[in-house]
Formats: sequence, structure tokens, C-alpha cells
Amino acid sequence: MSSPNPIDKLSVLIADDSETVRRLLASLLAALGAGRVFIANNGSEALTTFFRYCPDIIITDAAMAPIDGYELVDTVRSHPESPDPNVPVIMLSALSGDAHEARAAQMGVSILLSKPLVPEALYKAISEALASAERRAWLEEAALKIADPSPLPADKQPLPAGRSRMLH
Amino acid sequence: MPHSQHSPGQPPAGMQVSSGAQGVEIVQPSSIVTRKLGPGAVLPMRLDPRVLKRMERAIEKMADSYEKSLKTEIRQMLLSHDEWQAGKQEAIHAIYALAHDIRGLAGTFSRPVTGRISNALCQYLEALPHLDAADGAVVRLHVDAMFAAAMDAQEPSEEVAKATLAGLERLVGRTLEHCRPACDPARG
Repeated sequence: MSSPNPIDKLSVLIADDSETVRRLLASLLAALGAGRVFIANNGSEALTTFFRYCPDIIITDAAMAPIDGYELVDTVRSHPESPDPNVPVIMLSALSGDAHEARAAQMGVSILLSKPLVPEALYKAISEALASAERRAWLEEAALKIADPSPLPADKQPLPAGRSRMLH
Repeated sequence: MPHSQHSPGQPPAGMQVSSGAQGVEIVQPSSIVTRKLGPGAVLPMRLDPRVLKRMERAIEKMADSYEKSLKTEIRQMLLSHDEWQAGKQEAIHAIYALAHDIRGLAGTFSRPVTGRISNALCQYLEALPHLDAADGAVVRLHVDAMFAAAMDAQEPSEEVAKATLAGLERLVGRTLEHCRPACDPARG
């Protein structure tokens, strides 16, 4: 059975340089019943928090310094030690236009959410970002399988009697 | 919930691999949704009306404090405009930063007209090759319009808002015409 409020299991990282937006998002996520909310004042703090706590979802502003939202997403997606390269990312921005959308898509933003923020839109964005991340992960796995279609990997093969497998 | 690193050809933790009939391999990738929301979770999630009410109340709780902050920000824009006109070049950057903040937030707190005028100002400034090229009168008219929309308890009607925005848009269009080719009205 699904939980009546599935959000209560989510940990969410907010990255925004506006104190009002941070407070607003934290209040809305608290109202939603989000399990845990991490707050970062900019992209740099957000990356530190992401690598340390690996939140379930990221909500980030686009324009921030020293590291903006695009660079944040790029690092999350492509850093070799990223704890979750497929983490759903919602980019919240008052910016509009093709250039912004193209850059966000190129960096791997799951969902673009336009300001001003509306409660229903935030909830829908969380749902869609999760779906988008799911599709992204499935495609990645499918690509890996196509690249190396071995029927069963070595660690799934039956072990000869008397041998044990190291778990790590 | 850290993502497991895995080698190509090996399934990540949680992915089930089994051999089906006639050598067909069935792969069931690990589900991010299940991992993050728990078993049985389905997408799209449905928003419980009680949760929506709680979210709306959260916004209402912040509304008074935002209202004060909005008025302070617009007054600051007027002061910055005076400073800019008096020769302090960096003041136009402060005006843009304030306008950018307002366009992102005013609509959430029942000030959509103020937010739209602020957005129009941002789009004008973003269409310029650099902020120093901004026209003082154009910026001032936008800030005055924001002041007029935000200082009353209720914002102007949609009709007035549309007329105001259309007037500002015409003014911006004419101003940008004069600074072509450096300014590109389509850029913002």
C-alpha cells in the first residue's frame, strides 16, 4: 500500500540565494510533510550538502553565486563520486526563454518550475521530477545492458560448492 | 540513499535479473520511486486537498512579512534610481537584483501585477548589452508603476494592469529600437 502522503519519506535539498524563497520553500515542504529538508544559500553549499547527505530530491534556483544552479546540476550528474547522479532536480527560476530552457535541459534538470511559485505546481513538479528521474535511470540501465549484453553478471552466477562471496 | 556505483554489464543494487524462457533475459531495473517513496507508491502523486490547504496557509502566514519587505524593496529601488541618476553606476545593478527578486515572489503573495511589471523591467534590462545602457526614464516609469501597484491594499484591476504593461512595452520597444543593433529586444 502506498503511504497517504508519500512526500513524508522524502528528504529535500533547497538551494536558493533569496532568504524569502528559502523560507517559502521550507514552509511549503513542511506543510507537505516532507521527511527532511536541507537548506543551502548557494550552489556551493548545496554541493557540500548533496555529497554529505544525498537527499532524495533537489530544488534549486538558476541564478546564484559562486556556483549557479546549472553548474550544481552538472556536477551532481557528472561528478565521478556523485552519490546519486540520477537524483531528481527541480530548477525554480523567474528566467524564461529558449536559452534558459536549453541550458537547463543540457545540464540534466528534471523539471523547470517557473516563479512565482504556486503550491499545486510545486507538488506536481515533485511528482514529475521523480518520474523523470525514473525514466532517466531506466534509460541509463538499458544503455548499459545494450553496451554489454552478458546474460548474467559474474556475481549472479551460481557459486561452486564450498565457495563464499565477499559482500561489500 | 546513496547510488551504488556499478560496472557496465553488472546490475546496480536492487536491479533484478533473471533468465526467462528461450534465453530471453528479463531485467527489472531498481525503481527510484519505490526507493524514495516506499513500496506501492505510484506516480503521478495526487495532492490531498487538506495538504493543499496547509500549503496555502503556510503562504498566508508569510504574507504580512512579505508585504512589508516588498514595500521596502520598492522604496529601495526608488532610492537606488536617484543614486544611479546622480552618477552611482552600481545602483542600476541593485535595481535589477531587487526587480529580479520581486518578479519571482510577488505573484505568490497576491501581488501578481507588481510581479508582472517587475518582470517587464527585468526583461528590458536583460535585453540591453549591459545594465549601464539602461534609460533612466524607462527604468523610473517601471519602478513608479510597481510602487503604484504595490502600495495600495489591493492591486489594480486586470484591465488597468494590461493597459499599464502595454504602455511600458511600447516604451521599451521604442527605446530598444534606438540602441540597435547592440540591443536585441528578443533576447530577454
